[in-house]
Amino acid sequence: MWLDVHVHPLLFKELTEKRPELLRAADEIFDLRTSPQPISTLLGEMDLCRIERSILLPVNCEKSHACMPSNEEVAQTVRRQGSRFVGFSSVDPNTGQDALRELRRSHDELGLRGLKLNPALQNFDPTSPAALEIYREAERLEMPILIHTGITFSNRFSIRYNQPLPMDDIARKHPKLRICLAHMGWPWVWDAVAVAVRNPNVYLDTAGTFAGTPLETIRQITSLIPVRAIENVVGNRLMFGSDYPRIEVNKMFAAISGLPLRKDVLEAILGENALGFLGEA
Amino acid sequence: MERLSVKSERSTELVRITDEVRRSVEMSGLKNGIINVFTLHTTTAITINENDANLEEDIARFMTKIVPEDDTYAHHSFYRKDGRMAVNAYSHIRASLLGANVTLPLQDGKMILGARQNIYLVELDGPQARRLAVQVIGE
Repeated sequence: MWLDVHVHPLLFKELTEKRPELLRAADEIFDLRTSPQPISTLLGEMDLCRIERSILLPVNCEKSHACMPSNEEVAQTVRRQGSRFVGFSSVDPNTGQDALRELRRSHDELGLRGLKLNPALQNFDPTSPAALEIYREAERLEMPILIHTGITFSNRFSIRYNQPLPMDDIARKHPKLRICLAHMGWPWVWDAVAVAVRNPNVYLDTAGTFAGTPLETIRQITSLIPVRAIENVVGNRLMFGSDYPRIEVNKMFAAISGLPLRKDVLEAILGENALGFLGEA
Repeated sequence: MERLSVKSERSTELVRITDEVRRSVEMSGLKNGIINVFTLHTTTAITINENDANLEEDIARFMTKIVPEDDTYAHHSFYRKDGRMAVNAYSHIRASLLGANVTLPLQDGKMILGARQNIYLVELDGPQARRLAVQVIGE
Protein backbone atom coordinates (compact mmCIF):
# COMPACT_ATOMS: atom_id res chain seq x y z
CA MET A 1 0.00 0.00 0.00
CA TRP A 2 1.60 3.24 -1.15
CA LEU A 3 0.96 6.66 0.36
CA ASP A 4 1.60 10.21 -0.76
CA VAL A 5 2.16 12.37 2.30
CA HIS A 6 2.26 15.75 0.57
CA VAL A 7 -0.72 16.89 -1.48
CA HIS A 8 -2.10 20.42 -1.51
CA PRO A 9 -5.91 20.55 -1.94
CA LEU A 10 -5.40 24.04 -3.23
CA LEU A 11 -6.72 23.91 -6.77
CA PHE A 12 -9.40 21.24 -6.54
CA LYS A 13 -12.02 22.38 -9.04
CA GLU A 14 -14.79 21.29 -6.68
CA LEU A 15 -13.51 23.83 -4.14
CA THR A 16 -12.55 26.69 -6.48
CA GLU A 17 -15.93 26.62 -8.18
CA LYS A 18 -17.64 27.17 -4.84
CA ARG A 19 -15.00 29.63 -3.61
CA PRO A 20 -13.31 31.46 -6.50
CA GLU A 21 -11.26 33.46 -3.98
CA LEU A 22 -9.16 30.31 -3.52
CA LEU A 23 -7.68 31.05 -6.96
CA ARG A 24 -6.53 34.46 -5.78
CA ALA A 25 -5.12 32.91 -2.61
CA ALA A 26 -3.29 30.27 -4.69
CA ASP A 27 -1.81 33.04 -6.84
CA GLU A 28 -0.98 35.61 -4.18
CA ILE A 29 0.04 33.35 -1.32
CA PHE A 30 1.14 30.11 -2.91
CA ASP A 31 2.35 31.67 -6.16
CA LEU A 32 0.61 28.92 -8.11
CA ARG A 33 -1.39 29.69 -11.23
CA THR A 34 -2.13 26.37 -12.92
CA SER A 35 -5.73 25.55 -13.86
CA PRO A 36 -7.90 23.90 -11.23
CA GLN A 37 -8.42 20.21 -11.87
CA PRO A 38 -11.24 17.97 -10.64
CA ILE A 39 -10.33 15.66 -7.77
CA SER A 40 -10.67 12.81 -10.26
CA THR A 41 -7.44 14.00 -11.94
CA LEU A 42 -5.52 13.52 -8.68
CA LEU A 43 -7.23 10.17 -8.08
CA GLY A 44 -6.28 9.11 -11.63
CA GLU A 45 -2.64 9.98 -10.97
CA MET A 46 -2.76 8.12 -7.66
CA ASP A 47 -4.28 5.06 -9.35
CA LEU A 48 -1.53 5.06 -11.99
CA CYS A 49 1.00 4.65 -9.19
CA ARG A 50 -1.11 2.38 -6.98
CA ILE A 51 -1.15 5.03 -4.29
CA GLU A 52 -4.03 4.18 -2.00
CA ARG A 53 -4.10 7.31 0.12
CA SER A 54 -2.82 10.86 0.07
CA ILE A 55 -2.51 13.34 2.91
CA LEU A 56 -4.23 16.64 2.18
CA LEU A 57 -2.38 19.66 3.55
CA PRO A 58 -4.12 23.04 3.89
CA VAL A 59 -2.23 26.14 5.04
CA ASN A 60 -3.92 28.58 7.38
CA CYS A 61 -2.60 32.07 6.82
CA GLU A 62 -5.55 33.71 8.52
CA LYS A 63 -3.57 36.38 10.32
CA SER A 64 -1.20 37.24 7.51
CA HIS A 65 -3.27 36.52 4.39
CA ALA A 66 -6.20 34.15 4.05
CA CYS A 67 -7.07 30.56 4.69
CA MET A 68 -6.65 28.15 1.86
CA PRO A 69 -8.57 25.99 1.96
CA SER A 70 -10.39 25.78 5.30
CA ASN A 71 -10.21 22.82 7.67
CA GLU A 72 -13.92 22.22 7.01
CA GLU A 73 -13.29 22.01 3.27
CA VAL A 74 -10.51 19.50 3.86
CA ALA A 75 -12.71 17.43 6.17
CA GLN A 76 -15.59 17.44 3.65
CA THR A 77 -13.27 16.43 0.82
CA VAL A 78 -11.93 13.56 2.90
CA ARG A 79 -15.44 12.37 3.78
CA ARG A 80 -16.62 12.48 0.16
CA GLN A 81 -13.75 10.38 -1.16
CA GLY A 82 -14.08 7.46 1.19
CA SER A 83 -10.71 6.10 2.18
CA ARG A 84 -8.55 7.84 -0.45
CA PHE A 85 -7.54 10.86 1.60
CA VAL A 86 -6.20 11.61 5.06
CA GLY A 87 -6.96 15.17 6.14
CA PHE A 88 -4.55 17.35 8.04
CA SER A 89 -5.52 20.56 9.75
CA SER A 90 -3.78 23.90 9.63
CA VAL A 91 -3.86 26.62 12.26
CA ASP A 92 -2.20 30.02 12.29
CA PRO A 93 0.23 30.18 15.24
CA ASN A 94 -0.10 33.99 15.21
CA THR A 95 -3.67 33.73 16.48
CA GLY A 96 -2.68 32.50 19.96
CA GLN A 97 -5.43 30.72 21.86
CA ASP A 98 -7.65 30.68 18.76
CA ALA A 99 -5.06 28.47 17.08
CA LEU A 100 -5.15 26.01 19.97
CA ARG A 101 -8.96 25.96 19.97
CA GLU A 102 -9.01 25.40 16.22
CA LEU A 103 -6.48 22.58 16.53
CA ARG A 104 -8.63 20.83 19.13
CA ARG A 105 -11.79 21.42 17.06
CA SER A 106 -10.23 20.10 13.89
CA HIS A 107 -9.17 16.97 15.77
CA ASP A 108 -12.26 16.39 17.92
CA GLU A 109 -15.01 17.54 15.56
CA LEU A 110 -13.60 17.37 12.04
CA GLY A 111 -11.56 14.20 12.42
CA LEU A 112 -8.42 15.73 10.95
CA ARG A 113 -5.42 13.66 11.86
CA GLY A 114 -2.37 15.86 11.70
CA LEU A 115 -1.20 19.44 11.47
CA LYS A 116 0.41 21.32 8.57
CA LEU A 117 2.53 24.38 9.26
CA ASN A 118 4.48 26.67 6.95
CA PRO A 119 6.61 29.19 8.83
CA ALA A 120 7.33 31.27 5.72
CA LEU A 121 3.75 31.62 4.47
CA GLN A 122 2.36 31.90 7.97
CA ASN A 123 5.14 34.26 9.06
CA PHE A 124 5.95 32.67 12.41
CA ASP A 125 9.07 31.61 14.21
CA PRO A 126 8.89 27.82 14.78
CA THR A 127 10.79 28.24 18.06
CA SER A 128 8.48 30.96 19.41
CA PRO A 129 6.40 30.44 22.57
CA ALA A 130 3.21 30.45 20.47
CA ALA A 131 4.58 27.68 18.28
CA LEU A 132 5.76 25.67 21.29
CA GLU A 133 2.23 25.75 22.71
CA ILE A 134 0.91 24.34 19.45
CA TYR A 135 3.47 21.54 19.44
CA ARG A 136 2.51 20.65 23.03
CA GLU A 137 -1.15 20.48 22.08
CA ALA A 138 -0.47 18.47 18.94
CA GLU A 139 1.59 16.05 21.01
CA ARG A 140 -1.26 15.73 23.51
CA LEU A 141 -3.75 15.09 20.70
CA GLU A 142 -1.29 12.63 19.08
CA MET A 143 -1.39 14.62 15.86
CA PRO A 144 1.81 14.42 13.77
CA ILE A 145 3.08 17.68 12.31
CA LEU A 146 4.23 18.21 8.74
CA ILE A 147 6.20 21.44 8.63
CA HIS A 148 7.53 23.12 5.53
CA THR A 149 11.30 23.41 5.60
CA GLY A 150 13.56 24.84 2.92
CA ILE A 151 12.92 27.46 0.30
CA THR A 152 9.69 28.66 -1.26
CA PHE A 153 9.52 29.43 -4.96
CA SER A 154 8.02 32.81 -4.21
CA ASN A 155 10.26 35.50 -2.75
CA ARG A 156 7.26 37.28 -1.24
CA PHE A 157 8.10 35.60 2.06
CA SER A 158 11.22 35.38 4.12
CA ILE A 159 12.63 31.89 4.46
CA ARG A 160 14.56 32.66 7.65
CA TYR A 161 12.09 30.56 9.63
CA ASN A 162 12.33 27.57 7.29
CA GLN A 163 15.70 26.24 8.37
CA PRO A 164 15.58 22.58 9.49
CA LEU A 165 18.16 22.80 12.30
CA PRO A 166 16.00 24.69 14.84
CA MET A 167 13.54 21.78 14.67
CA ASP A 168 16.16 19.64 16.41
CA ASP A 169 15.40 21.27 19.78
CA ILE A 170 11.67 20.87 19.20
CA ALA A 171 12.06 17.19 18.37
CA ARG A 172 14.30 16.58 21.41
CA LYS A 173 11.86 18.28 23.79
CA HIS A 174 8.81 16.50 22.35
CA PRO A 175 9.98 12.93 21.74
CA LYS A 176 6.43 11.63 21.29
CA LEU A 177 5.57 14.25 18.68
CA ARG A 178 6.12 12.93 15.16
CA ILE A 179 7.46 15.71 12.94
CA CYS A 180 8.02 15.62 9.20
CA LEU A 181 10.52 18.09 7.77
CA ALA A 182 8.92 18.58 4.38
CA HIS A 183 10.93 18.83 1.17
CA MET A 184 13.97 17.42 3.01
CA GLY A 185 14.67 21.04 3.88
CA TRP A 186 15.96 21.75 0.36
CA PRO A 187 18.61 23.14 -0.08
CA TRP A 188 19.56 22.47 3.56
CA VAL A 189 19.19 18.76 2.96
CA TRP A 190 22.10 17.69 5.16
CA ASP A 191 20.70 19.72 8.04
CA ALA A 192 17.31 18.03 7.68
CA VAL A 193 18.98 14.62 7.51
CA ALA A 194 21.06 15.47 10.59
CA VAL A 195 17.93 16.33 12.57
CA ALA A 196 16.29 13.10 11.40
CA VAL A 197 19.34 11.01 12.30
CA ARG A 198 19.43 12.46 15.83
CA ASN A 199 15.71 12.17 16.52
CA PRO A 200 13.72 8.97 15.89
CA ASN A 201 10.48 11.02 15.89
CA VAL A 202 11.59 13.09 12.88
CA TYR A 203 10.60 12.14 9.35
CA LEU A 204 11.40 13.62 5.95
CA ASP A 205 9.42 13.76 2.73
CA THR A 206 10.53 13.81 -0.90
CA ALA A 207 8.13 16.51 -2.11
CA GLY A 208 9.68 19.23 -4.22
CA THR A 209 11.08 20.14 -7.58
CA PHE A 210 13.36 22.93 -6.48
CA ALA A 211 16.34 21.58 -8.42
CA GLY A 212 14.51 20.86 -11.67
CA THR A 213 12.33 18.00 -12.88
CA PRO A 214 11.61 15.23 -10.35
CA LEU A 215 14.44 13.14 -11.82
CA GLU A 216 16.86 16.07 -11.75
CA THR A 217 15.88 16.94 -8.19
CA ILE A 218 16.27 13.42 -6.89
CA ARG A 219 19.62 13.07 -8.69
CA GLN A 220 20.80 16.27 -7.10
CA ILE A 221 19.75 15.06 -3.65
CA THR A 222 21.44 11.69 -4.12
CA SER A 223 24.60 13.46 -5.29
CA LEU A 224 24.59 15.21 -1.91
CA ILE A 225 23.51 12.23 0.14
CA PRO A 226 24.76 8.88 -1.09
CA VAL A 227 22.15 6.24 -1.66
CA ARG A 228 23.75 4.01 0.97
CA ALA A 229 23.40 6.80 3.50
CA ILE A 230 19.72 7.16 2.64
CA GLU A 231 19.29 3.42 3.18
CA ASN A 232 21.26 3.32 6.42
CA VAL A 233 20.26 6.46 8.27
CA VAL A 234 16.88 7.68 7.06
CA GLY A 235 15.51 4.73 5.10
CA ASN A 236 12.97 4.07 7.84
CA ARG A 237 11.74 7.66 8.05
CA LEU A 238 11.88 9.08 4.53
CA MET A 239 8.39 9.23 3.02
CA PHE A 240 7.11 9.64 -0.50
CA GLY A 241 5.53 13.05 -1.03
CA SER A 242 4.64 14.53 -4.43
CA ASP A 243 3.86 18.23 -3.74
CA TYR A 244 0.82 17.99 -6.05
CA PRO A 245 -0.26 20.19 -7.83
CA ARG A 246 3.19 21.69 -8.22
CA ILE A 247 4.08 18.43 -9.93
CA GLU A 248 2.06 15.48 -11.16
CA VAL A 249 2.00 12.61 -8.68
CA ASN A 250 2.97 10.01 -11.28
CA LYS A 251 6.05 12.00 -12.35
CA MET A 252 7.38 12.31 -8.82
CA PHE A 253 6.53 8.67 -8.15
CA ALA A 254 8.46 7.54 -11.24
CA ALA A 255 11.53 9.48 -10.08
CA ILE A 256 11.46 8.13 -6.52
CA SER A 257 10.57 4.55 -7.41
CA GLY A 258 13.49 4.52 -9.87
CA LEU A 259 16.04 5.12 -7.11
CA PRO A 260 18.65 2.33 -6.87
CA LEU A 261 17.70 1.47 -3.29
CA ARG A 262 17.27 -1.89 -1.64
CA LYS A 263 13.78 -3.14 -2.35
CA ASP A 264 12.69 -3.17 1.28
CA VAL A 265 13.91 0.41 1.81
CA LEU A 266 12.16 1.64 -1.33
CA GLU A 267 8.91 0.00 -0.29
CA ALA A 268 9.21 1.57 3.15
CA ILE A 269 9.70 5.01 1.58
CA LEU A 270 6.68 4.53 -0.66
CA GLY A 271 4.37 3.25 2.05
CA GLU A 272 5.34 1.80 5.40
CA ASN A 273 7.18 4.84 6.78
CA ALA A 274 4.07 6.97 6.30
CA LEU A 275 2.10 4.50 8.40
CA GLY A 276 4.58 5.07 11.22
CA PHE A 277 4.25 8.82 10.79
CA LEU A 278 0.46 8.60 10.96
CA GLY A 279 0.61 6.37 14.03
CA GLU A 280 -0.85 3.40 12.18
CA ALA A 281 2.15 1.09 12.46
CA MET B 1 -19.05 23.93 -33.08
CA GLU B 2 -19.26 21.59 -30.13
CA ARG B 3 -16.81 21.12 -27.31
CA LEU B 4 -16.29 17.60 -26.07
CA SER B 5 -14.76 16.41 -22.81
CA VAL B 6 -12.56 13.35 -22.65
CA LYS B 7 -10.80 11.83 -19.66
CA SER B 8 -7.51 10.01 -20.07
CA GLU B 9 -6.27 7.42 -17.61
CA ARG B 10 -2.60 7.04 -18.40
CA SER B 11 0.33 9.35 -18.97
CA THR B 12 0.54 8.38 -22.66
CA GLU B 13 -2.38 6.72 -24.39
CA LEU B 14 -4.62 6.76 -27.45
CA VAL B 15 -8.23 7.43 -26.52
CA ARG B 16 -10.84 6.48 -29.11
CA ILE B 17 -13.19 9.36 -29.83
CA THR B 18 -14.82 8.30 -33.13
CA ASP B 19 -18.25 7.72 -31.61
CA GLU B 20 -18.23 11.02 -29.74
CA VAL B 21 -17.24 12.91 -32.89
CA ARG B 22 -19.88 11.07 -34.92
CA ARG B 23 -22.59 12.04 -32.41
CA SER B 24 -21.45 15.63 -32.53
CA VAL B 25 -21.61 15.63 -36.33
CA GLU B 26 -25.11 14.15 -36.32
CA MET B 27 -26.27 16.80 -33.88
CA SER B 28 -25.05 19.52 -36.22
CA GLY B 29 -27.68 18.51 -38.77
CA LEU B 30 -25.34 19.34 -41.65
CA LYS B 31 -25.18 16.94 -44.58
CA ASN B 32 -22.19 17.75 -46.74
CA GLY B 33 -18.93 19.51 -46.00
CA ILE B 34 -15.92 18.99 -43.78
CA ILE B 35 -15.42 18.13 -40.13
CA ASN B 36 -12.55 19.50 -38.15
CA VAL B 37 -11.55 17.86 -34.85
CA PHE B 38 -9.20 20.03 -32.85
CA THR B 39 -7.60 19.55 -29.46
CA LEU B 40 -7.42 22.47 -27.05
CA HIS B 41 -4.25 21.31 -25.30
CA THR B 42 -0.59 21.60 -26.19
CA THR B 43 0.23 18.19 -24.73
CA THR B 44 -2.36 16.18 -26.64
CA ALA B 45 -2.76 15.46 -30.33
CA ILE B 46 -5.46 14.20 -32.68
CA THR B 47 -4.69 11.40 -35.07
CA ILE B 48 -6.39 8.76 -37.20
CA ASN B 49 -5.31 5.16 -37.26
CA GLU B 50 -6.48 1.59 -37.15
CA ASN B 51 -8.79 0.42 -34.42
CA ASP B 52 -6.43 -2.05 -32.70
CA ALA B 53 -5.46 -2.08 -29.02
CA ASN B 54 -1.97 -3.43 -29.78
CA LEU B 55 -1.34 -0.68 -32.28
CA GLU B 56 -2.54 1.90 -29.76
CA GLU B 57 0.12 0.56 -27.38
CA ASP B 58 2.74 0.60 -30.14
CA ILE B 59 2.09 4.20 -31.11
CA ALA B 60 2.15 5.35 -27.49
CA ARG B 61 5.35 3.43 -26.82
CA PHE B 62 7.01 4.70 -30.00
CA MET B 63 6.31 8.30 -29.04
CA THR B 64 8.05 7.74 -25.70
CA LYS B 65 10.98 6.14 -27.55
CA ILE B 66 11.59 8.87 -30.11
CA VAL B 67 11.19 11.77 -27.67
CA PRO B 68 12.68 10.56 -24.38
CA GLU B 69 11.65 11.97 -21.02
CA ASP B 70 15.14 11.88 -19.62
CA ASP B 71 16.94 14.49 -21.68
CA THR B 72 18.04 18.09 -21.43
CA TYR B 73 15.24 20.43 -22.43
CA ALA B 74 15.32 24.24 -22.44
CA HIS B 75 11.63 24.19 -21.45
CA HIS B 76 12.50 22.51 -18.13
CA SER B 77 12.88 25.56 -15.97
CA PHE B 78 10.82 27.37 -13.38
CA TYR B 79 7.74 28.57 -15.23
CA ARG B 80 6.85 31.76 -13.44
CA LYS B 81 3.59 32.04 -15.35
CA ASP B 82 2.35 28.85 -13.67
CA GLY B 83 4.36 29.04 -10.48
CA ARG B 84 5.91 25.62 -10.92
CA MET B 85 8.64 23.78 -12.74
CA ALA B 86 7.89 22.97 -16.36
CA VAL B 87 8.77 19.30 -16.72
CA ASN B 88 6.94 18.09 -19.83
CA ALA B 89 8.87 19.33 -22.86
CA TYR B 90 8.78 15.80 -24.27
CA SER B 91 4.94 15.85 -24.17
CA HIS B 92 4.84 19.11 -26.11
CA ILE B 93 7.30 17.83 -28.72
CA ARG B 94 5.38 14.58 -29.19
CA ALA B 95 2.17 16.60 -29.62
CA SER B 96 3.81 18.75 -32.28
CA LEU B 97 4.94 15.68 -34.19
CA LEU B 98 1.40 14.27 -34.30
CA GLY B 99 -0.56 17.44 -34.85
CA ALA B 100 -3.43 19.20 -33.14
CA ASN B 101 -6.28 18.38 -35.53
CA VAL B 102 -7.67 16.15 -38.26
CA THR B 103 -10.10 17.07 -41.01
CA LEU B 104 -12.57 14.57 -42.47
CA PRO B 105 -15.13 14.71 -45.24
CA LEU B 106 -18.87 14.81 -44.48
CA GLN B 107 -21.15 13.37 -47.14
CA ASP B 108 -24.90 12.78 -47.01
CA GLY B 109 -24.82 13.33 -43.27
CA LYS B 110 -22.13 10.70 -42.71
CA MET B 111 -18.57 11.16 -41.56
CA ILE B 112 -16.34 9.51 -44.17
CA LEU B 113 -13.82 7.18 -42.62
CA GLY B 114 -12.07 4.11 -43.96
CA ALA B 115 -13.30 0.79 -42.63
CA ARG B 116 -10.40 0.54 -40.22
CA GLN B 117 -9.95 4.18 -39.45
CA ASN B 118 -10.60 5.56 -35.97
CA ILE B 119 -10.18 9.03 -34.60
CA TYR B 120 -7.99 9.26 -31.51
CA LEU B 121 -7.21 11.86 -28.92
CA VAL B 122 -3.56 11.16 -28.12
CA GLU B 123 -2.93 11.88 -24.46
CA LEU B 124 0.74 12.76 -23.91
CA ASP B 125 0.74 14.18 -20.38
CA GLY B 126 -2.03 12.40 -18.56
CA PRO B 127 -4.06 11.43 -16.84
CA GLN B 128 -6.19 14.54 -17.23
CA ALA B 129 -9.61 15.85 -18.12
CA ARG B 130 -9.25 17.11 -21.72
CA ARG B 131 -11.34 19.24 -24.08
CA LEU B 132 -11.58 19.19 -27.84
CA ALA B 133 -13.59 21.08 -30.42
CA VAL B 134 -15.57 19.51 -33.24
CA GLN B 135 -16.58 21.91 -35.97
CA VAL B 136 -18.68 21.03 -38.97
CA ILE B 137 -18.53 23.34 -41.99
CA GLY B 138 -20.96 22.74 -44.83
CA GLU B 139 -24.57 22.66 -45.79
